[in-house]
Amino acid sequence: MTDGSVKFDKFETASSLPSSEYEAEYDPETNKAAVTNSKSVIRRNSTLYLERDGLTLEFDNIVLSTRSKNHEKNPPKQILKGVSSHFPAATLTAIMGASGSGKTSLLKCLIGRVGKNLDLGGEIRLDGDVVDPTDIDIRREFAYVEQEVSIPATCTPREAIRFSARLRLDKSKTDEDIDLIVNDILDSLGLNKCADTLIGGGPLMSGGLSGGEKKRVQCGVELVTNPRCIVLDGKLGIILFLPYPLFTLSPFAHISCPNLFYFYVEPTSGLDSYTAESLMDVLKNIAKAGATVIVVIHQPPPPVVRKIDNLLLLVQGEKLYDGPLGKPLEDRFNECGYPKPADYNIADWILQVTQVYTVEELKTAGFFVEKSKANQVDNTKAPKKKNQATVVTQQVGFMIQTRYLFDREFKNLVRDKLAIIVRVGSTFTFGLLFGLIFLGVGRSDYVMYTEVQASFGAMANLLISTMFGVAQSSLMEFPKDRPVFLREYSTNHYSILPYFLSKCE
Amino acid sequence: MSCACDSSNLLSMQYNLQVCVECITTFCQVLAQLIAFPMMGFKMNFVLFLLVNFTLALASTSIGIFVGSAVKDPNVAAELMPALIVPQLLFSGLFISANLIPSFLRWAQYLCSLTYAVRLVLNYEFEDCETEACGVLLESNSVNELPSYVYWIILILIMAICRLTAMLMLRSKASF
Repeated sequence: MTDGSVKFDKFETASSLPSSEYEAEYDPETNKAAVTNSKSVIRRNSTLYLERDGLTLEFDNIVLSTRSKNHEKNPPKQILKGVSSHFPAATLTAIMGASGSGKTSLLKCLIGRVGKNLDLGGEIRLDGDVVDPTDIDIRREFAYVEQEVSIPATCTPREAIRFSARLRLDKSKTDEDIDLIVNDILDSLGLNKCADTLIGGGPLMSGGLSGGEKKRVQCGVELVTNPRCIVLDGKLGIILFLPYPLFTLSPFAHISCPNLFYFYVEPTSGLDSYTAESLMDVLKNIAKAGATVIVVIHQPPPPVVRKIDNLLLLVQGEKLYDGPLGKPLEDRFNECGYPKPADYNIADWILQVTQVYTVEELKTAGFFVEKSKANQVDNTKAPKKKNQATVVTQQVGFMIQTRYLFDREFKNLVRDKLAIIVRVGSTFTFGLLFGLIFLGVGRSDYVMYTEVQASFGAMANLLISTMFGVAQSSLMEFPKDRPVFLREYSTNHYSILPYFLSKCE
Repeated sequence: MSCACDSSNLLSMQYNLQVCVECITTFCQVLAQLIAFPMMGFKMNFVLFLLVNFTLALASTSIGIFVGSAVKDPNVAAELMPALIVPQLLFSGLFISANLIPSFLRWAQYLCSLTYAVRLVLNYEFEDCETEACGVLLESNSVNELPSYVYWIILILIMAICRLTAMLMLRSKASF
């Protein structure tokens, strides 16, 4: 691969845009947008856009509620009230809805990350086969970009993506191949400028990357494997009500509320609207390459809306609209008596409708009624992929996993200098204090019991303060790294033993 | 290609194992504090004291890791700190001789890594001391209940068991 061919050409996107406002074509059979001739659209050579067979994700009657022992006193709260839909391969589906409408909950049900204290019902099918999403093999089919960013603070974006690439891609790839892939991803996600900046975050590592950049790094980390299903969770709308100074402190991603970022956080540059759009571009292209892409968005700006193929709109755990954007969506709202005013962006309008009117009002208006043909995908006809020869990726061995983890830990140690200085400095001061208090206790001849007792006290003190000093930091070590570990372990970066070895104090 | 690559990886892996990351900080920490040792002027060997101290440090980090793996939130972990350490202080024999603790609680001293470390250093510091006072101290702390090497083994066992359980626990959490 030469450099030129790998390079992501941003201008090509603009020229390849179809003239119509919405890119997807409407397929009346399933009431879903379907991208036709998807394979011919791709002209780029980026490794991100390798062609693949996406998985059709279908689900029926997903019910999620809190569990309660006493139904009389404490009736269980319904979070999802029977949502059914299907997300075809090679499309970009957006799940939208007001805060608390169950977007993230639905996503978590589909990818098997629901807490044990919740009751989950319904059926989930991948390519027509009923699956248990909590099964680790099924979970690993999905690349999941969480709301919370969980990348170690002392890495650079380049290192984070390389770490993921080396440990998850096939071991036949040489280190040079990996470097090419990493550069390519950094390029495609617009991370070139900050590729070698420490990510930062946490109490001792202030500064670093912006929230949106972190989010894109996390995308890159997940996209490395050319996943067949990508699930991206934005941020919930609660941040809408944060005052400006708090908002800038919070690590919220651009994708979730690009409007806000545009207006409140970086009023001069206008970069972030563009950033969200370019990330969407990348996702759209991956969808065109055949993957199933699912995005939770709060309030997308028009350029982002144009990239969406299908929309699933949730209102208080129920499905209000499920289908393509554009004309069918506007028609549906017209039909029910809520036509979009001319000066409104469609995304803003539908969200406003779901928030201003009660569910009962919307029901009387004719929403929530399933169209007869909609979504009745015949199971028997579900297209089974013929060449489903599962390519088994041979991961790098135990040794390399251990080496990479050690490498990261070591860098973490070196870069987080302040932490070490504080730790060693404070114990030194304590040592000095003890030394002065118990000055010369050991030089006596131990005839008097008080002399013996003083020596004993001095030794016990040293031991106790050692315990305090080290237990504190080790106790914090795992809870702090826990999100990183859980993400990486459950997405098959490494087995658990190398991780523990690297943490061995 | 793969052969050459593997052997170089093996070498650097060994290198990395040697610089077992956290080990260094723990060691630095223990060493920094032992500035007090020459000031106090003990009779026992400095290296021996350093070793006991370091082993105790490793054992207590293991317990820290064990609890740390069990809880979700760093803040909860910080709150649990005193609960882990304070009982150890009480059973160490510094404030009250273990023999005076009611017998239905006395067994708990054997759960504390500090107990074993204290017995080891007392043994090394006072083994050559002939005075009555030394004898009383050694007696009241049951230092000679078991030979020293057993104390070493127990400290290392505590370390191994805590780390192993922590690992298993974390693995079960990962597939929540």
